[in-house]
Amino acid sequence: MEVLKSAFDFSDFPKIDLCVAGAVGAFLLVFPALPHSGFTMATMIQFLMFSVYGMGWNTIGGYGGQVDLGKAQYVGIGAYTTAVMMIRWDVPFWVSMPIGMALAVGWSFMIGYPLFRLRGHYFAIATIATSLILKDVFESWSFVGAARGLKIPIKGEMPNFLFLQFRQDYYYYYIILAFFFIGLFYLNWFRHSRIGHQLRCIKDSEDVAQSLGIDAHWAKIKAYATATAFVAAVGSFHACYNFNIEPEDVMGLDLSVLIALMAMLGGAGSLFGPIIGAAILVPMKSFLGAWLGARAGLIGLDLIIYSTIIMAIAAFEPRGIWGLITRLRQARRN
Amino acid sequence: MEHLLIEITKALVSALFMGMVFGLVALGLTIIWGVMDIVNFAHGEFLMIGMYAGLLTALILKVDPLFGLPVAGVVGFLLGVACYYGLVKFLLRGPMIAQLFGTFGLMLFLRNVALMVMGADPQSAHQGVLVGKSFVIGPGIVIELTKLAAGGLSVVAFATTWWLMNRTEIGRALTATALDAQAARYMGVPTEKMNALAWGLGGVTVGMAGALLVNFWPVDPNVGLLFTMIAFTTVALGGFGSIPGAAFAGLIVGLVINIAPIWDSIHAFLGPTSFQGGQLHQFKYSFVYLAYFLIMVLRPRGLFGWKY
Amino acid sequence: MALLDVKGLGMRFGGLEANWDISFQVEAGELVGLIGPNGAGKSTLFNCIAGMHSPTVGNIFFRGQNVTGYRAYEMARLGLARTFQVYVATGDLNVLENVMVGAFMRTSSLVKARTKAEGILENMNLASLAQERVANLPVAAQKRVVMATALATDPELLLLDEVAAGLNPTEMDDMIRMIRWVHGQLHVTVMVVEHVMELVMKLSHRVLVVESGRLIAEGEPSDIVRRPEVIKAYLGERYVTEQLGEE
Repeated sequence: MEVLKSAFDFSDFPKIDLCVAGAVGAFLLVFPALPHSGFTMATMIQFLMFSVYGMGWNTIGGYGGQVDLGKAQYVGIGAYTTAVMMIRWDVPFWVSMPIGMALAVGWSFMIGYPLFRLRGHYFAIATIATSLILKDVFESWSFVGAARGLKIPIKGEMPNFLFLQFRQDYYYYYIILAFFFIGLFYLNWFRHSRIGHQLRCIKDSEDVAQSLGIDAHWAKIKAYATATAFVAAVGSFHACYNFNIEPEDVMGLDLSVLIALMAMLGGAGSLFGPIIGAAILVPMKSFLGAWLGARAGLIGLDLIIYSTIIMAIAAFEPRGIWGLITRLRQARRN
Repeated sequence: MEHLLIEITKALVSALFMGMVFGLVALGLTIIWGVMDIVNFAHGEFLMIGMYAGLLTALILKVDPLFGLPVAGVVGFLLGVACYYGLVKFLLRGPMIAQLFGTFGLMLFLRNVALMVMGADPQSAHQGVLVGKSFVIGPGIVIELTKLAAGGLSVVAFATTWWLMNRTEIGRALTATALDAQAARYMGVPTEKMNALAWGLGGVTVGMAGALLVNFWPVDPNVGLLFTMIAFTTVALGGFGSIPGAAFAGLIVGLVINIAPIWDSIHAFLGPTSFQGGQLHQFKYSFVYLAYFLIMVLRPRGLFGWKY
Repeated sequence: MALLDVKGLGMRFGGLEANWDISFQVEAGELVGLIGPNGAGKSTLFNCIAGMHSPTVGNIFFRGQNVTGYRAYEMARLGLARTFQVYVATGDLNVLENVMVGAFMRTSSLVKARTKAEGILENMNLASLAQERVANLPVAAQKRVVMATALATDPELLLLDEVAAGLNPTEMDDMIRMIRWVHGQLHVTVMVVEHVMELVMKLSHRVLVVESGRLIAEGEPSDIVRRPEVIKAYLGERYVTEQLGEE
C-alpha cells in the first residue's frame, strides 16, 4: 500500500511542473486520435521507447552516478530472447518478455559483480568493453542468425495480441505507452524508496554511505539490474515492432550511447530528465534523418549536432536541461 | 611443421612491430591522463585524423607516405591544443561525468565530421618507398618494410618523449603538474599552459602514430573506436601514467591481437576439428576488450602504474 | 564486558607504521576522548575501529564479537556510527533526506524512516532546515546534520571525528551541549577524537593520548594534563623540565 502511495507521490514538484506533466500525459493518451502521419506515429513510438530506455539508464547512471555506456547489450538480450522464442517455439510475447528480462538481469548480476569494482571512466570503458564482446559473440553465433540477424515471421491473423503483431501502429503505441507509464511510476517509487535514497547518498560520498550501513557495491549492482530490466523489456518490444533484429541495431555501441546521451541531456538523476532528453533528441534525429535522407553528402550531420549539444552541456551544465531549469529557479528564488 | 613455425614467427614479428605502434598510440593517452587525470575518449579519433593527415599528404603532394609523418604530428599537436582550449578547459571545472561526456561528445563530433568530409570508405596508402615491400630473414620470414619502419620510428618517438619528460625543464614541469597541480602552481609552473602542452604532446604522438599506422592499416572514420579501446587497454595494462608501461604493454597488446590468427594457423595445421562458432580471428578485438576488463578487475594499477 | 575492546592494534601503510600496539577498552555509557599531536595516528586508529582499514596486527572486539577486519558498513550495522570531518556534498540530498538515509539502515519503510528523521531533526533544532541542501548550510549546522544522520542509525557507540574544528565559542558550547545530550539522553557511548582541548577536557570521563602511533597515557582529563609524557608529546622535552622544575 505504501509502495503504491509513494509511486504516485509527486508532491515535491512545483505545481506548474505537475500541470505541464499532466498536459503532456493527456496528450500522449489521445495522440493516436489526433490527425497524424505514419512518420509522426513512428517517431512518437521511438520517443516512448527511448524514454523508457532512458528511465532505466537513469537508475544507475543518474541516481547511481555511474555512467553506463553498455546498456545496449541488454536490449539485445531482451530482443533476441523474444525473437528466438517466437520463431522456434511459438512462445507468446507475454511469456518471452519476462524470460528475456530474467536472462538479462541474470547476466547483469554476473558481470555487475566484477564491474562495480570500477568507477568513473574505468567503469564506463569497461561497460563498453563488455557490450562489444557480447555483440561480437552474437555476430558469430549461428543460433541467433549471426550478423544477418533474425526475421520474425507473421504468426497469423493480425491484430495479434499474443505475439504482439499488428498492422496498425496505434496498437504498438498504446502498449509502449503502458510501459512508459509503468516505468514512470516505478521510477517515482524508486527515488522515494530506501534503495533510491541509498544510491543518491552513494553518489554524494561512498564513504559516508558505507558508514551508514550501506553496502555500496551491492546497492549499485541492484540499480544496474533494475536498469537492465527496463531496457530488456523494451528490447523485447522492439523485436516485435520491427519484425527484424540484427546485432548492429539492437546491441551496438551507437544505441548504448544514444540511451545515455538522451538521459544525460535531459538531466540524469532527475525523474523527468530522460523523458525531456528523448523528447528533444528523438524528433531531431527523425526529422533530420528524413530531411538529410535526400542529401547523401551530409551523413552524420545529426550526430554532429548532438555531439555539439553534448559538448556544450558537458562544459556548461552537466546536469542537463533539468539541471538548467533547477538552477534558474534557484537563482530566481534568491 | 617447418611451415607452421615460419607462419608463427612471421605473425609474431608482425605482432611485435604492430605492438610498438600501439605503444605509441597509448603514449599520448597516458601522458594526458598522467598530467591531468582526464581521460580522452576521443583519443582514437585523434589517431584517425593523424592517419588521414598522413595519407592525404602523400596523396595530394604526391610524396611518399613517410613524409606525412611530420604533417600528421603538427596536425595532432594543433588538434590537441585546440581541443584543450576549446573544450577540455571547461570540462575540468565540472564533475567527472561532465568530463566523460565532454570527450565522448568530442569523439562523436570528430568521427562524424570525418564521415562527412572523407566518406565512409576505407582508404590506404598504395605506393611509396616502403609500401608493399618487404625483406626476408632466414628461411622465409618475411618482414614488411612498412611495419619495420613503423616499429623503428615508434621507438625513436618513445625515446624522444621519455627524454623530454625526464631530462628537460619542460618535462619536469609537466611531471610536477601531474603529481600535484596545486603545488606546481605555487612553484610558478603555469599549469594552464602545462595542461595545453600535455594535450598537444598527446596529439603529436598519436598523430604520428596514425601516419605510421596508415601504411599498413586502412583508415576509415570508424577506426577510432577500436583504437580507443586498444589504447585504453594498453594504458590500463601498462599502468596509467607510465611511459615505459605504455611501451611494454603495447607489445603485449600487439601479441594479443595477433594471437587469434596465430591460433587459427595452428588450428588449421592440426586439421579441422569441430570448433563450433567459427574462426577465432573474428574475436580478435574481443580479446582486447576482455583483456581490458580482466586487467581492471584483477590489477587496476597495471604493470608499472603509479596512479590509479 | 567492554563495549569496545582494542587489543594490540597495529596499522602499517607500506613502510609507515601509523599505529603500534594500541590496547584500550571503552565501557558502555562512557564518554571517552582521544587526543594527541598532529600526525600521532589518531585518524588511523579511528578509521581502523570504524572499519575503513583493516588493521595489520591485533584485534578489535565490539560487544564481545571479534570484528577485526570488518568493513565500514558491517560495523555500522552492528551499532558503531561515526561522523566525517569534511562533508563533501554534491548537493543531491537535502537535510531531511540525508538523515533518512541513516534511518533507512534500520527500516525499509519510507514512512517510518521519514518519521524517525523528522523526530531527530526536531530534537536537534534542525527542523526548519529540513529542505535545505546541506552544502548551503553554515559549518556548525552541517556538523549537526552529520551527527543527526549518524544518530539515525541508532548506534550504541558513536565516534566523533574532530567535530569542534572551525567552531566559534558559542557554537562550541552548543556542540558540547549536544554531545552531552546524545550521551545522557540517548544513552549513546561516545568517543571523541579531538584537537580542541576545551571540548575534550570539558566532556570526557576519560582521555586516551596517542603519540607517534602509540598509546602513551590514559586517565582522567585533569590527571592527564599533568603527566610528563603528555606534556612532552605536545610541547617537547624542554617544557617538561620547566614544568616540573617550577613545581
